[in-house]
Amino acid sequence: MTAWILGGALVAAAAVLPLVTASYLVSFTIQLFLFVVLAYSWNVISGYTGYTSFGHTSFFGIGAYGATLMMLHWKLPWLLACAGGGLLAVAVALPLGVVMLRLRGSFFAIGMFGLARVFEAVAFGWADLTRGGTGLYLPPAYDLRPLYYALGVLALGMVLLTWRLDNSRFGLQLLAIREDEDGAEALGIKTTRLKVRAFVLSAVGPGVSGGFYAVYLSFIDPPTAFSPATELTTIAMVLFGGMGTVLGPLVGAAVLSVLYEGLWARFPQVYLGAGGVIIAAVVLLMPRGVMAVAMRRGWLPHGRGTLRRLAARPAAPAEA
Amino acid sequence: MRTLAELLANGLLLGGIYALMACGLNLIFGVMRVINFAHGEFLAFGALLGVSLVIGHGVPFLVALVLVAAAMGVFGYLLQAALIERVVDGPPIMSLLLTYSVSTILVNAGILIWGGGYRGMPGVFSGSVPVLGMNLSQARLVAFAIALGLTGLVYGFLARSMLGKAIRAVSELPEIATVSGIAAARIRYLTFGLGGMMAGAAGVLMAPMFASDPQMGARFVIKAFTVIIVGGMGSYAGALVGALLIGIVEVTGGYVLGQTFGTAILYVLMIGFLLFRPSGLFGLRVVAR
Amino acid sequence: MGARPLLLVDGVVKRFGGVMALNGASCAVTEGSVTGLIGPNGSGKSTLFACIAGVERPDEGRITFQGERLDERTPSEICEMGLARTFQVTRLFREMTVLENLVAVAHGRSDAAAVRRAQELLEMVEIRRLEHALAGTLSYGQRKLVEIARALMFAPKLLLLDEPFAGINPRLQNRILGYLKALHEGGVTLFLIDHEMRILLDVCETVLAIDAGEVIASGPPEEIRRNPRVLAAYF
Ligand SMILES: Nc1ncnc2c1ncn2[C@@H]1O[C@H](COP(=O)(O)OP(=O)(O)OP(=O)(O)O)[C@@H](O)[C@H]1O
Ligand SMILES: [Mg+2]
Repeated sequence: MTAWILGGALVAAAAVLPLVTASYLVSFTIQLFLFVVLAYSWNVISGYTGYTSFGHTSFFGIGAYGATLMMLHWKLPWLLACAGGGLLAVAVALPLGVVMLRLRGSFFAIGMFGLARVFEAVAFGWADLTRGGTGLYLPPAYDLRPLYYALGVLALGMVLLTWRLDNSRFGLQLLAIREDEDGAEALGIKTTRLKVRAFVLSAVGPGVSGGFYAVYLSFIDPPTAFSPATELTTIAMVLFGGMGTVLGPLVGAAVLSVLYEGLWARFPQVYLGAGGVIIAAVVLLMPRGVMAVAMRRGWLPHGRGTLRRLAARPAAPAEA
Repeated sequence: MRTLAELLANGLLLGGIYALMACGLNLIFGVMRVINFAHGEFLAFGALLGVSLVIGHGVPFLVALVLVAAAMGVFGYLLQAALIERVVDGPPIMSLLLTYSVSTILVNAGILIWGGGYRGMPGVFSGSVPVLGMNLSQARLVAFAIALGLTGLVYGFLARSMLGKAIRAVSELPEIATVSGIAAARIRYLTFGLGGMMAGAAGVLMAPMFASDPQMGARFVIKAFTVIIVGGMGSYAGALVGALLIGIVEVTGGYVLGQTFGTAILYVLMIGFLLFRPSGLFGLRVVAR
Repeated sequence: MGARPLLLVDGVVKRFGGVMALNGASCAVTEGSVTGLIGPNGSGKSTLFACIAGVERPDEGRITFQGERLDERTPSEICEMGLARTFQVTRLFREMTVLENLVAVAHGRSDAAAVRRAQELLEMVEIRRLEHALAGTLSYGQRKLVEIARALMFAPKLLLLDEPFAGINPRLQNRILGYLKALHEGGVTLFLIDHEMRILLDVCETVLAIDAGEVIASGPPEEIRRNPRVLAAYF
């Protein structure tokens, strides 16, 4: 209950923020929302399903280019174009998921990394469409508030979706794949279908928010669209917060965004390495992230509360 | 007009350096099943250190090569002993994430040390020499010869020496705790050191050919991944053959399709091999799943 | 006799590289029976179960369940047909609770119905009190019980049990024996691997003996125990 009140207060605060404050905070929160979306999306495939992807910027970049091109060529309104970018990312993710998810562990990670580089190369090389390294320019957005709300809704959607996932059998089955895919398969869990579904689901957020990002910058070029730094930051956030948890990505995105903002302002020269230090520290010191530590210490209830509630009925009288 | 023979020769020469880099990567993978994402940064550091020594301090190229290779070897040894060793027994993804993070830390450190710009090694092995009627770059020829020599030297070490045999034994059976009385942990440190040394040397050899910058690692590590995946994970000879092949594919691909798509071909090749022939050309001990 | 075979294994061959794990194994399991499978270590018992459950694909031969081919189906299709199994080395999802282990494999059903079914089964094997314990924290015997309960989530007609009595104390063995008998009375056909003659004699109507990938004898347990080929294979 308190969790819902707290969450509601947070959402309300985020909703009134652009009405009362200066553009710096709005700008910061837009980036926070962006990373919340990316972190939650990555969490679905890499946190829950255990397929660590080093190439989810592929979908971010595809969404960004898709939306930008739809705005430039088809004159679509930005919101519609961003939805279109998300659809494009999903359309790419479906066949890719079927193919790439045959790889496991490090091989999937590296394969995805290579894939992002392929897409980046295409964006560079297909200059007729993308203007290559010059990049594409959009008319600048003077009022960031619509973008703020759109990204905020998307971020909230990702949180709620993950909460649903965590409390559903689908989520349990993804966790089963993470733990022991062959065992899950042998027990009749349709692993291929489920992990492809998770993969496609994890491409929606990056696809849509890629378009938002292009609108935010009013510019997109290959290094921005397929940036390994974006990938790294996202991974650091989820790792820090806790892979495969409902609140981990939110906590990770919030804490690291503030941290990065501070670094950027005061020590921009170590910005890049900081992400690496965080990942290394988490891997070495608390590989399950802060939320999992909090759960284990009993500061927080374990996830999957709905199942627990369903289970909390009196024992049936019949004993076999 | 470049002839086909010239393209192939240039590819082969490039492949020689890739071999030096990729054999080290594969050695590390073979012994501890860790994919070293920071391998590209070993190369970048090798190149930039080499430039600093040769251009900045007037150290002769070959002396710089030895110094840098030794320094990167020690660095690799220490890195394994201090960090990677702690996750060696964990899920493979943890070691990958750790080396990934080391890679970004090194890139950042490289930028702090050398700045973000490109650095060349002008005047070292410049010009070209005629070989069998082709005009080949002197830098590439020298690099190729030294790289293959070093690769062979390490191979000889693995095949002949006690320590080398111990490394191979661990590579074949990573489960065994001790080999010939040498603790497996020491062998892992040494292997990482050896890999670091080879990548560092490859970096120095590459410096006269391409301008170097702290972010060059990402461009090359993925090529090294491609090499070992095509050649066969964990197979030293496979990495050698794979490297020569990839060098040729890259140079001819770049010529036919242009630089950008030429490189993309490599990644497509890598993903294709991962999916359809995970054991690569020579990897008998398949581990791609 | 005269009952129709529920499961038919016909000339199944399975190779792992150079190893011939199954070498033309043939056998039948009658509907409503309790059938035992014995054989020395490495004789191919677990491999036979893996082939039946669809986890391994036979190189040759055919397997039918209620007259339908199994050897071309996926494990999940086979589970849905009413064939479930436990593993020789327990294979629980260690980071999930006991209840979640059961719910994760439920087919169809709403989540609420799956939870209810899981709780009934945990009550049946008398470990409902462990429902929220993490599977990774359970004792070996408790894990065996969870595996049995989990297999029953499919409401199987045929239950394959790979050494359900191995490595646990006699008291728990007897408890499991009791559950299996109750299942049998409830109409579930049981096909179980074990090394312990005492248990096989107690519960099985038919015992199959396998050696080097071939079924070398089948019949009532008393007979199998004295069969010279079986004795030769074992000693
Ligand atoms: N996945 C596999 N890969 C390679 N060989 C295998 C595999 N599974 C089984 N084998 C081999 O097949 C043979 C039969 O093994 P199986 O596990 O079926 O024996 P078993 O009768 O169950 O033995 P036990 O009584 O020890 O459980 C053995 O030689 C084993 O080494
Ligand atoms: Mg067995």
